This record gives sequence, C-alpha cells and structure tokens, in this order.
Amino acid sequence: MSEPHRLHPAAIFILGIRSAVRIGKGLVVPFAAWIASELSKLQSNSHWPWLLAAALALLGLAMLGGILEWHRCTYRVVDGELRVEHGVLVRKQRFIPAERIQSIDLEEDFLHRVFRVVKVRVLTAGGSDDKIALVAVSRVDAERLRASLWPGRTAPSLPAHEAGATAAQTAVSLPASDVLATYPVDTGNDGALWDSVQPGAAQPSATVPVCQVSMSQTICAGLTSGRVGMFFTALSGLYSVFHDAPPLRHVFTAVWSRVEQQVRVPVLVELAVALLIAAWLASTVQYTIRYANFRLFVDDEQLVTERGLISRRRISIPRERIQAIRIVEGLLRQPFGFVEVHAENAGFGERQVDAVVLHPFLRREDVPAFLAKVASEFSIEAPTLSRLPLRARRRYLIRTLVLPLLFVTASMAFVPHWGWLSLPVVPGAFWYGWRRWRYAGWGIEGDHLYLRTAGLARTFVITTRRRVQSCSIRQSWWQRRAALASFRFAVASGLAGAHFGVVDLELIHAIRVYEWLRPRSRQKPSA
Amino acid sequence: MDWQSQASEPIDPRALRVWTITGIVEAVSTLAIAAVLAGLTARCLPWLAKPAWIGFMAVALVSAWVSACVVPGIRWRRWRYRVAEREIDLVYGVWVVKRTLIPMTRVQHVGTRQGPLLRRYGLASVHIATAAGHHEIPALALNTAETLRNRIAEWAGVADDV
Repeated sequence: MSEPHRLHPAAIFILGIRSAVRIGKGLVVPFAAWIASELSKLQSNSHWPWLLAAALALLGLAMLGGILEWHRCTYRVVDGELRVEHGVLVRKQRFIPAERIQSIDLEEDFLHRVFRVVKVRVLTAGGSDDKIALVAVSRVDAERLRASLWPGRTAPSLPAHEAGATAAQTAVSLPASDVLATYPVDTGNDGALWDSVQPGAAQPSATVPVCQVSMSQTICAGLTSGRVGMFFTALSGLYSVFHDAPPLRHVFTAVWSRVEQQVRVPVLVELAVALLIAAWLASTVQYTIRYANFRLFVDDEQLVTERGLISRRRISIPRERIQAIRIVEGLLRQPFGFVEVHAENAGFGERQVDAVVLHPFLRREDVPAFLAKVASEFSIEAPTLSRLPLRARRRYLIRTLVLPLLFVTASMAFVPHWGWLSLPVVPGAFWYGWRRWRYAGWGIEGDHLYLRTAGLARTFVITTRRRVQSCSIRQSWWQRRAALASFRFAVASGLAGAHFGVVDLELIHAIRVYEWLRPRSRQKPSA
Repeated sequence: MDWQSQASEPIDPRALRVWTITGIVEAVSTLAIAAVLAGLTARCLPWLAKPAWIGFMAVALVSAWVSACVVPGIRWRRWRYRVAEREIDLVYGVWVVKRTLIPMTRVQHVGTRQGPLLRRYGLASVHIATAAGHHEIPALALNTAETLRNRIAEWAGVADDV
C-alpha cells in the first residue's frame, strides 16, 4: 500500500451524481413553483428541449467534476501513516498516523452496491474535524487498507484449510443477498489474495460472527426501541417542507382548516392516539432498516459490527479503545428483559447515538457471557449494587415534583374547564422521581467501577480504573445538611469526554469511590 | 465530614481583585438589562410602570451585589489545589462545592494562559487537558503558574504548550 492508490472508478459516478443532485436541489427548490407551472403546460411549451439540455449539461459538468476529483484523490500507507491527497482547486494532504485512528468504518449505499464498492471512513480522536472519507474503494482494497493500517494480528488462529472450511460453511448458511460479505464469506474466493498481500498475517481469526440478530428479533427490538421521538423530529422536518413549498401550502392549509373546524376534545384525543401509533410503527420500520442483519465479529485486536438493510455499514473498533460499556434497558424492554449494549469509544464525536452499538437486543441474563466474550476488560461476574440511602428519596421526589406542581397549579388556575386534565401529571412525576431514586446505585469490584442511573430507561455503566480520566465529588448546601453528595467521572469519548454520575449518594461512599480512584503505588492492591 | 481539606494551596490573593472587576462588569450589564426590560414594560403597560421599575431594579441590584461583592470572596476562599506526583486535586465552587481528581497519567497537555486582565495583575491560569475535557487552576502568580506547569509536564511526561 506504499504506492499511491486511486479510488475505484465508480467514485466518478458516485461523486458526479452526488454533486448533480446537490446542485439540482439547490436550483429546483427555490424555483419549484415556476418549474411546476412550466411542466403543467409542457405540451404547448417550446422551452422543454432547453430545459432538458440544461439538465444534461449540468449532469455532464458534474461528471467532469467527478473525473477531476477522482483523478486528484489518492491514498497510501507509508510508515504506518495513512496519507490522503485530494482536492481539485485547493489541494489538500492529510496524514494520519495509524495509532491515532479510532475506528475504520465501511459503508454501502445503494449506488455502492451497484458498483460493488464501499465507502471507507477513518475516524480519529479529534472528532469531526479529523474525518477522512474515501468515497468508493473496492471491497478487497478496503480490507487491504485496513490490514495494512492495523497489521497487529499475529498468526491466524485457524489453519488455512480449516479457515476455508469455516468460510465455506458460513457462505452456505448466509443468505445470498448478504452484502459486505468480504469479511467472513469471501475469504473463500479471496484467500489467495490475502496471502499475497500479507503472507499469513491478515487472515481474520474470527470469521464467524460472535452474534447475529435475526430479522424477527430486530423487529421486536424496533417495536420496543422507544425511539418514537425520532419519528416526530422527522415529522416536524416534513412539516416545514410542506409549509415552505408554495404549491403544497394550499393543500396543507386546506387540511388544517378542516381539522380546525372539528376541534373537539374527543377528536383531538383520537388524532393524538392515531398519530402516536403511526409514529410507533414508523419508528419501528426506521429502526429495522437501520439495524437489520446485525452481526458482530471479534478477533484479538478489534470488534467489527455490521448492520443495515438498505445501506450496509461496518464499523471496526480496536478493543483497546473502548473506554466503558453502557447497558441500556429501555422502558418498553424492561418487562421482557432485553437490553442494548453500547461501547463508549474514544474518538466518536457527533455520531455517538448509533455508532457503537455492540448488541441491539440482548437478553439481560446473557450480558455477563456476552461481555466476557466481546469486551472481557469490562466483564464482571455478579455486580453488587449499593443503592442510595432512604433520605435521598425525598430529594429525588422534590426535584421531579416542583415543575409539575407549578404546571398543574397554573393550568387549574387559568384553564377554565379542562385544567383538571393536567392532574395525572403529578402521580406520573412522583413515579418518575421514585424510579430515579429506586434504580440508582453504584459499586466497585476488583478494578471495575459501575454506576446505574435511571430515567425512563435504566442505564448501567461499567468502566475500569485505568479508563477514568477524572472524577469529582460535588456537594450543594442542601446535600451537606443531609450528608449526601454527587459523584461523577469522565472517560474519553468524543471531544469533551463522556460523563457519568450518581446524584445523592452517601458522602462517605462518594469519598470511598474517590479514594479508590486515586493512583496508588505500584504494588498490587489486594483483590 | 471533612473531605475538602486535603487540597491545601490557595489561589493568589490578587485573584480576588480580578474577580471583583469581572463581577462589577457583570453587575453593570445585569443592571443595564434590567433597566431595558423595565423601560419596555413601562412603555407597553403604563399602569405597571412603577412596580416594574421597582421589581426589576430590586432584583438586579441584589444580583449585582451578589456577583460583585459576595461571589468573588466565596470563590477565592474555596479555591484550593494540590499537585502531587501522581495526581492533581482541585476544590472549588461557589454554591456547589466540587472536588476533582485528575490522575497524573491522564494529563495530555498542560499550559498557562493569560488574558489581558490577568496580565495586568501579573497572574496566569494553568490549563490541564485530559482525553475527556479540560480543567483550570485560575489566577496564580505568573512564576508560580509557570513552575506548576513545568512540574505537571514533567510528572505527567507530556510536552507543555505555553
């Protein structure tokens, strides 16, 4: 990989189409009404050949730009450093030392599938600023790039013929539509190539996924994901589009005035319920598309996750870079005992939400075994959690009740007939505050520190002493009167780090954790 | 229970003056904002003019007094630090007392900073960055800050950026 490589020629089309779409969007959206009116009198109008010619010229220009960009963009690996040169007008050179790379992602959109290429994204600790994306690289080249950046693996753990057999088995058992299959499957075809690249080195030791989530499980996960909120944000985006586009605005206002005429509480309730169900189903579909065919591979050095129905995405994370494990039990999943496992990874900036899911839908009782296999640094046998003292409960309840009580008082006072409808907010808030107190806790075991916090979801965070970047005790005046304190620690993640904490634990316990985190002399502490 | 006294070094006394100045600036802007708000209320709702002026100005005066006279003193008295070979211990906070531990091995950069106001009084702050955010010891005498920076850099085994 030391000589400069070009991207796969498919990059020309992908870049070209992308910029054509972008320019097209920029032109079409402001003139949408005009174009619509032109189109409606298409037969009588003699402009349309010109329009067509303009569109073709635009596409041609975009393709030309694509060719130039493709021509200029090269990448290579020299001295354990990824060097990318690109840019047509402004030429840019980016050098990234391999040890600073936090993860290598492979991504496949629809266009990538057509050309059988992948997009390679290289992320470093600096966050969004230090991101490098190679738009289109053939799958073989992508694997080769990864292998030459992270050659850490020693000899393959399986003898060659056995590895071949395993690969063949996997190939049979996996559906033909499976994309990004180079990692486990194509070793059968590309085996010779691997050997020629790096004799005996680059063969992944784990060619069989450690875990795999079936479609029905993914749908269950989607139904219980509790990401209904995501749908509403999408909906509000849609609303603004409808609201802004002139021809659609009439439709929108017409529908809205119909709704307004019939505003009565029952109708509103029905509407809200219908909307909620629609949002729930839509978020399920969205979730399923995003997380379908989830698979996780593990070898000595790294974790590789793979997911997605339409655009496939593969993320490789060096195991050494994982800073903490977060186990999240969503509200809807608690009755069924399923959790989602996240890795807090040094170096993901803005994409934290879904970038590092290690398992989207794991049975609670399988968590210890899963961690032992996947992230052994963070596996604990049976965590014993110390709960918060009883006198913290009052503080939790007061904190969650203040705002709802104000709200209810105000609505009772100012909304004449329907004010009492807000009353259920109070027991709701009470329940929420009680939950937060009931499920919060902390624990220390060996070199592990773990905390549990709860909102609607329960979150269990595990880290080890050497991963903690800083920690703090905080105490307000009221906490001092009750001999309580809050404890927080930070691990590296993104630019500002990830902070986890428990509010209102015993002050002596906070001090105990603080003292435990203090660096101590070399001798091994008694376990 | 005493959990704050292990950090022992105080901040330079001149910090008090710097913080008082920033507090006064803050207080003046609070008063200005309150005056604008009260004026607007008086313009729009003339019958509320008197209570609005009295209310806004009372709140603004109290908060101005707090930020210029009370807060700097508490902050200065509270601030303590201790830099040992293996760890940095900080105690600070006005309404909420915080104590922060930074293991020396986690320090990535350390540097000193000097704004115009700090320079005027011959002070500097020490800036300590870890992989998960940064911390600051504010307002030390310039040579104390520089010695501290060099010592942290040596113990942490990192380059210091000035």
